[in-house]
Amino acid sequence: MRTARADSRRFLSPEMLKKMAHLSIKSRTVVEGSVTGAHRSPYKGFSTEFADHREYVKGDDLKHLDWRIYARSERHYIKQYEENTNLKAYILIDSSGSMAYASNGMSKYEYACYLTAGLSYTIINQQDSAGLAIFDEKIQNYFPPKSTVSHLRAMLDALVEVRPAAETDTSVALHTMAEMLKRRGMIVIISDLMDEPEHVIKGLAHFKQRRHDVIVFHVLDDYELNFPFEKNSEFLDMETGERIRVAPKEIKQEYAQELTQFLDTYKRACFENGIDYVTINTKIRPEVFLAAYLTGRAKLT
Amino acid sequence: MFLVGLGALSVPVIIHLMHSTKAQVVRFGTIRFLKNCQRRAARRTRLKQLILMALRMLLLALIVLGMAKPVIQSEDTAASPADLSTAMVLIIDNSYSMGYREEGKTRLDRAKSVAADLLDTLKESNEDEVLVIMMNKKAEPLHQEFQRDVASVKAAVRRAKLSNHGTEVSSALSMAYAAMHRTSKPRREIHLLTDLQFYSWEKLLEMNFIKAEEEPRPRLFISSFGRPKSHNSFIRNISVSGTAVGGIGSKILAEVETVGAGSPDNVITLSVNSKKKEQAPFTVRPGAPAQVPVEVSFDEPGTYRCSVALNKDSLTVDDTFEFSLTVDDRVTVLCVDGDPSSVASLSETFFLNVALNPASLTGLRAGSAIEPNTISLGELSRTSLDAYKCVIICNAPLLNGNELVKIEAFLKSGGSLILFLGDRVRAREYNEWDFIPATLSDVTGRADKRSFMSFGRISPRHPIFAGNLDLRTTKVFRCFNAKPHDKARTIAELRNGPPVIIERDYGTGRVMMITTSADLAWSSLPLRRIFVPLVHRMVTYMSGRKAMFHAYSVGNTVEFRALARHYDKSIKVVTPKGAATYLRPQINGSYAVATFTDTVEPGRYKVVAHPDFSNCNGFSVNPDVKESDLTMIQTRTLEKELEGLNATILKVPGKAAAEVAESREGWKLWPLLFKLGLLFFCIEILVANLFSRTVEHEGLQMPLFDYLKLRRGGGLAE
Repeated sequence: MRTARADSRRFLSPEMLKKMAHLSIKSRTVVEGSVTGAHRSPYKGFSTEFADHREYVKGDDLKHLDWRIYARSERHYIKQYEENTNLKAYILIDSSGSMAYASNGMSKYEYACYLTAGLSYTIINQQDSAGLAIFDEKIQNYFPPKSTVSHLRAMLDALVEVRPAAETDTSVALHTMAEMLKRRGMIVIISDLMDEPEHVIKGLAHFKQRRHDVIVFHVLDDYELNFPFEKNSEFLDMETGERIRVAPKEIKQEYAQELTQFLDTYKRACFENGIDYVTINTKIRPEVFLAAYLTGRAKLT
Repeated sequence: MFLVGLGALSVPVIIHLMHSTKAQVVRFGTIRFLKNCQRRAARRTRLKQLILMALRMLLLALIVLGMAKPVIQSEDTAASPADLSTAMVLIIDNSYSMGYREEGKTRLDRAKSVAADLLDTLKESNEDEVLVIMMNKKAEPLHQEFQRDVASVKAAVRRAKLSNHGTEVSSALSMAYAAMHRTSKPRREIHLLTDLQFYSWEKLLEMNFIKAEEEPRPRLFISSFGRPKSHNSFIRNISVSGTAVGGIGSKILAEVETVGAGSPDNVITLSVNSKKKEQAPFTVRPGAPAQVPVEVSFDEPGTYRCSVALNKDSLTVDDTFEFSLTVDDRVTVLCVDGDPSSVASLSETFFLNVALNPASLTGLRAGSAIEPNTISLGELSRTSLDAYKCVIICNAPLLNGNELVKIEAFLKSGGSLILFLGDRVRAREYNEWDFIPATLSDVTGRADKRSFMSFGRISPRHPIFAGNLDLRTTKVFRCFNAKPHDKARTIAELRNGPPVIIERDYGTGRVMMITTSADLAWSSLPLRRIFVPLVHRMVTYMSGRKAMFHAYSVGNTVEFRALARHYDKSIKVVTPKGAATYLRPQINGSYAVATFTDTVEPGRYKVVAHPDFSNCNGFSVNPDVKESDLTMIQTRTLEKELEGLNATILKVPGKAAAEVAESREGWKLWPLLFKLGLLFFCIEILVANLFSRTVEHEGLQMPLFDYLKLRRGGGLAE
């Protein structure tokens, strides 16, 4: 246990904490929280940001009566304002076998863990709740959102204990999660999405149907992106154990085309569904990426 | 030993198999993309690897085989390995056409150079031997037997000179094959170095003798030094039109030919006694000989040394034609009138006299080369015939005994007799004469001239008819029926059969009989315009004046003839190079005769002899111009003719020695193998890179293989 904790701490290294300290993440869509927070709530209230009018009913505070409408139409309308709430963020991390691939020492899964740690820290640090779901063929581990540091630690410990090995079925995991979450929140999916894009996209769309704010971190190794192999080799699939003998030089161009087509499929589908999609090369340090991403997102929000 | 290296062929196979069996295992996130790519690239990759493997195997095979230095040996070379003892016969064409100069060297120079190369291929250690035969009109071996001292043979070849003769291949080849029968060497080669003139092979091909040679045949190598369409102009012959008489112009006709590709324009120059006298430009084209006339006149009778020359070309020996021209005083002819008349125009010989000397009508002597003298038959017995070359008897009834003896003696001493018949002729008397050319019978035709006969067949080649004398319109009203004797020749006959002009030799003289009359009584001949040239030619021919110019060809025999009383007078002949030969005449019948056969040098031969000897003023010798026709026999024709003869025609004579060495050792295959290896190496690099190369098509990078398929309309591979 001690070892797991010690290992989990490396995900929140001083560099990461330093980078994340002044950053925050906001939902781009309305989320349903239980307490008032920094995020827009679907529920209308009387805060500062005007949302709508409704007809006055008995018991309403007169200070919210819109006298201008009354002067024009002699009818009583109450001004309603956006209600802010706290954020419930769910981080879904893929622990399938393919996520174990590492060309430069840090596997995709490990990279995902760093991202998870950084994001969770940021979310909890801004008084929101962060939850975690680890999936491969199905949901293997689930931590409901909480905003405590101990919860963060527990999540990180859980991440350390997972050894990515099984085959993946991302769509099943996504559909399961989408059905499971009743209230709208932020969904962060960290995966290499090595599954049938059609199925995965349906799973992502499911979240959107439930009006979640969905972020997809498509994590890929540098070697997967650039395929720098030279020698004729036998490639072993880390999920299925299948083998294939190829001459990398001869298929390099085709590989690049295949990959581009694969990524484009996700990009296009995510764009169409309003999903924030980012392809990440594990060569970039996770804290650097997160800092850049969150900064950029904050500007756009 | 090197063939063991063929085991190296397995290397590419092993590499190929290793390539397909052993590969580094790489753990990878997913192989889903690789599967798709591999499916698409598999066919291309497999093809490439197979091609590359095949190319590498070929490359290795070629290198290994090349290092083994293989040679291809024909049946012949297999039986003649390089170290076999060799007997070689070198036949070098030294006919005068080999003096044709190209790029500063004669063909003989080039042939000698190739001969030296061929001699260098002989090895003293193998006890090789060689016989060199110089080939011209006859075969002239440089040594009588095969020689082993190659150095001395080379020196002899270097000294070999052009001959002035033509080419006769058959005699040289016969000698070479005969020599080969005398040698016991296992490898026997005959090398023929010639310019392949067509005419020189005609006789050989007709003889077909080589095919009769028995096995094993020696190898025959033919090196050609000739070039197609080599240009050469030459004088084939000279003729003198008419007679050559002092003070009267003569026309010398030069028959000029040209072969090959060259300028048709030329200039002919006539020199007399080494002085240029006349010059005339002319044009002559291949296949169309030109008769080039040169007008010349001689003031005095005598023998002149003449030559006609063309512009110098690559073969100079035949550009000049030398001859001797004997210019006589006038030809005196005795006309015997058998039916004289006090009215000149009614006499039997009137038209004949006018024709022989047209100037006689004006009383002038000059103007004709023939001077006729007319007498009556009765005067014949009193007239000496010594001053006459020709006697013409017209319509004489008969000759008495004295007259007959005189005429017979005249004929035997070389004189000639022309007989014109007529109504006074007694056939029975004529038939008694020993020198009469035909037996006369009755007279045919009508005396009233209501019907006539025409000339029929004539001998067109006879000198009196040369130059298309048209006798068809001449009417013959009457003539004797004559049956020519065995020794006689019919020169002309009438359309319905009976001969009109008959001739025969008698003694050293000649008799010609015309079975019709010399006046208008029996024919219209005296009124025809051909009458004058006809009687001139008759007289010229009969008096021997036609042969006034003398020219011999190289190799001809020159005869010196005089009356027998001169048998003790020696004759000195000096060749153009100054060598003197003394001849002693031999008695031959009533003549003293000497012959000179050493006419090998063209040019002027000086003669010192008694003036009664023929050719006493010298004679000229010219090359046999058959050799001047450089037209080559077609290689294909020659190959066909020599088929099955173990013969090889070497088209590049300069490489003859190399080709012969190759034929002995076999064809060296290894240089070709290395070249092929280099080629396959380049192809291997090309194939290896072509398959890996990508090209941009519509903004996409795609393998060249797929791009080419797309261009061909096959679409991209799935």
